[in-house]
Amino acid sequence: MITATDTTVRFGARTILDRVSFAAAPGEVTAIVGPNGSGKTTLLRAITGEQAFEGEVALDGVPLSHLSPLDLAQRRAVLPQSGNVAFPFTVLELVRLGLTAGLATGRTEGLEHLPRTALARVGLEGFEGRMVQELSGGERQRAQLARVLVQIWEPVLDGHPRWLILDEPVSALDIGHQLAVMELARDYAKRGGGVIAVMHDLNLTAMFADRVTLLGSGRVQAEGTPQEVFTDHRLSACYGCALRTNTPPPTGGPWILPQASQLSL
Amino acid sequence: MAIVETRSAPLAGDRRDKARFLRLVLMALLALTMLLGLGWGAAGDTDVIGALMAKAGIGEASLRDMTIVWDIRMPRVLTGALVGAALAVAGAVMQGLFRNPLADPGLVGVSAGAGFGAVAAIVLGGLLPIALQNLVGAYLVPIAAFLGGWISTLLLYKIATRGGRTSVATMLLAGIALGALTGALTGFIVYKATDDQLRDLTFWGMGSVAGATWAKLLTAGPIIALALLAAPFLARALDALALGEAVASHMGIDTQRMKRIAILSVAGSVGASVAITGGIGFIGIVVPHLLRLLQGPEHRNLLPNAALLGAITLLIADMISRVAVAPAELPIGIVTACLGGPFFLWILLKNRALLES
Repeated sequence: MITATDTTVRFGARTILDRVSFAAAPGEVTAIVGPNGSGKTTLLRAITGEQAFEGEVALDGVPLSHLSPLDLAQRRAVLPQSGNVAFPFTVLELVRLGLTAGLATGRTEGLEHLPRTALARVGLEGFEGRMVQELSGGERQRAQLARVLVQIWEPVLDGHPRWLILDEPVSALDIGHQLAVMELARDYAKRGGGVIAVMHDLNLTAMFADRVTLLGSGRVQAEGTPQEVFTDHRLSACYGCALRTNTPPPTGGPWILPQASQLSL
Repeated sequence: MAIVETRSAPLAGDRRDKARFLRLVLMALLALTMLLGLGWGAAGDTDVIGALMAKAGIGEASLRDMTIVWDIRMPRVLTGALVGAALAVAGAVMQGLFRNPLADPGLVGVSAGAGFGAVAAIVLGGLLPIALQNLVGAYLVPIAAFLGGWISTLLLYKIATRGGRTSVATMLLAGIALGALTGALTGFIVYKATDDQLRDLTFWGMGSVAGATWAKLLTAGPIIALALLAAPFLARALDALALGEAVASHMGIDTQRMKRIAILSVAGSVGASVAITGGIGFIGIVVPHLLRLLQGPEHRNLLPNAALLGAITLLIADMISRVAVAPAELPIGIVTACLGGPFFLWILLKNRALLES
């Protein structure tokens, strides 16, 4: 379990997160959604320890402050929103950085094949020799995802679930790769790992998330399954626009259709 | 897209074999340049090999050859190699720390800070309690230079980094400001110096490896050696830092600790180098940049190869400084600046082209 209890984050006088409580269980995809500025990324940063906060964030009951960066890196990997790289690494060199992440030593015997496998997994076969700085935004995001996957390749290690923490993992991707990446996240959860993802696309969220936390103005507006959370009224109020949910035939989950204002109810 | 593909590495992204091969070439070149450095000098014909062998107890050499090779040229060559290695590694570590290929200890005021430390030690060292003077002895100047470099690097990092992000513009501008400030302080101390101290300062400030002696090498050498030995332990952390401070931390790096070690290592290398040879610029920027182009930016290979290429570059610059205006000697800083200045401009223009395209 990853839990955040009464988590508050302030930037100066502004309160970005106001006593937010959040929980994610292994074996599930947990999505954090909400309009711009609602505190999604800040909550994610508090969960990863990147952002100072009041309250408590714990991994399997152990507060973050009791875990070293190395402990944490063995248990969870974080995909950042921007994938800028300072020096001219090739894609393979970038992904290979995930191999030693979280290890006390740099020894990676027997794992050398993983970077290539991970690249194939995100649809970047044949990109090994390309320069990261010359990739398109979407390719770069997937290369970073491959690096993150290599860091925590086995979803369960020594009986402990590991965590894939994704900050807007599909924001730069075309629709085909959006589906592929979300399916990859689902698969990771199915094999016993945990996935926490900040999402913008409500339909993808409804399709792939087991649980959703809806944030608005720094507070939790609702928490539950997509069916429970995504209601016309709540979404429209939270996002400040007219939204109508519907149910598509195959999955039974909701899908959300934005309504242009002149057509609004 | 076709252009992009031809620019990329052909070996499916793995350049480690290339780096290993390059290391062997560089090791051979270093041996060669060191031998050349030992054989090259105003004394004319010298049996270098004979003198080297005689020291190891094989064969004999004349007293003249032994003196020239072992007392005059050997400390000079070793100092050149050690300082060149130190400056190149310090450059690479600093660029990794600031996540920017333009960070160079000479450009951003770290060398100026170290220089201030050295000058202050020469002029004001006599004011220290006698017991302390006896304790640190000949180490006073290198230690003061190290402290000056350390404080400059620390200040620069604090000023240029906000919320885990280092701004290039702030770094370069703060470097100029810090350099000017320490330069002014240095000038003030020089102004206050006595005639004898001025003589010391002049010799120190000539900034060349010509004045190298075993005694100087033994004072600065251990500090440089420590800094060089610490560098490989930073390799993984510097690689991770290339992805940003937050990402490095998510990858298990204790970023605060690694930054402290990196800053100490840079200060040690630069401070001790400045203490024995004065400020020698551009090695720290040219060498790592060339190596990144040739073998990629992975620090586990970049740092050792930078040490080798830095040593070779400084030894070659020293030889040029000896022949350019023979029989006089050109200060080596002029040679490295002549080579490095255009190179720096080339990097700038190349990056500008990339930005504009």
